[in-house]
Amino acid sequence: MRILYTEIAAALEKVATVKKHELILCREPEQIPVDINNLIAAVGELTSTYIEVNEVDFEGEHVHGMLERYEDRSQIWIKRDQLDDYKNLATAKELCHLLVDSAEHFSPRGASTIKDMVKELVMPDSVDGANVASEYIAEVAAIEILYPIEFREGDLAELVDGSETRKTLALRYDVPEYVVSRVLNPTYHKQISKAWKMVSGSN
Amino acid sequence: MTTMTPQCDRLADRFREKAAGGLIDVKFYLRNTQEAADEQICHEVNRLYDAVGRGEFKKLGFKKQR
Repeated sequence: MRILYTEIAAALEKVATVKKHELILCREPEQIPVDINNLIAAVGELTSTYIEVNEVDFEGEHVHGMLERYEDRSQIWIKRDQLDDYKNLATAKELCHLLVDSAEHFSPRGASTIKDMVKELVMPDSVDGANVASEYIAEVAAIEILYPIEFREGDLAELVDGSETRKTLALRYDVPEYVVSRVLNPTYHKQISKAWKMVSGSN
Repeated sequence: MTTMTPQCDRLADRFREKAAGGLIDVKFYLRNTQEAADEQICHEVNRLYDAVGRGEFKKLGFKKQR
């Protein structure tokens, strides 16, 4: 699975639209953390999709959420037994599929998708499927909405001077701590900044 | 040699039925999969659908924290 900057930038074009939506406006500090109910409403409006989000009580350690897309509606299932910040991220990631995926990313053959995702983990770059690439892109899109790039430079300075920790920043954005580590990682920041620069009208 | 994958076979059957009912795409948010086999993950998704079948789900309410 190889993902091009142009693919990330295309997803970020949609992310930029969400960030500017009147229900989100997440470049404003007072709009942080992003309200997931508003995100559901905004994505539903932008994609003209009826979206239902339910939590399900089942045992497991790997599946945090899933999306079923139909012509006339979409159903998101979220695992009940997980922390709220993971529920936020899982829901946002599935919503982002509705936002950024196109027909080439679609497949109703879920068992095959799971096998491809596991194969890609074991042998990176072994799977060509656009449906697997879209799993990565949707998570990036979700992270870029929940933790807007506009705040990262300031947050990194606060992290360095010790006034904030990864944990307090995670609480501020209501995301898992690993998201903070990921976005403040220099490699991620460099790559995503390059992709954002390809997005027209992102500022 | 063919590997037995009963959970993934069962899940594939579910999705064939759902596709016949209009499903056009399915996506998963997976974590901690480094050690996981596809059968384990298919088993979890089957458990999710079994729970849905038993009505063990409800609308997810997100709290506002601002």
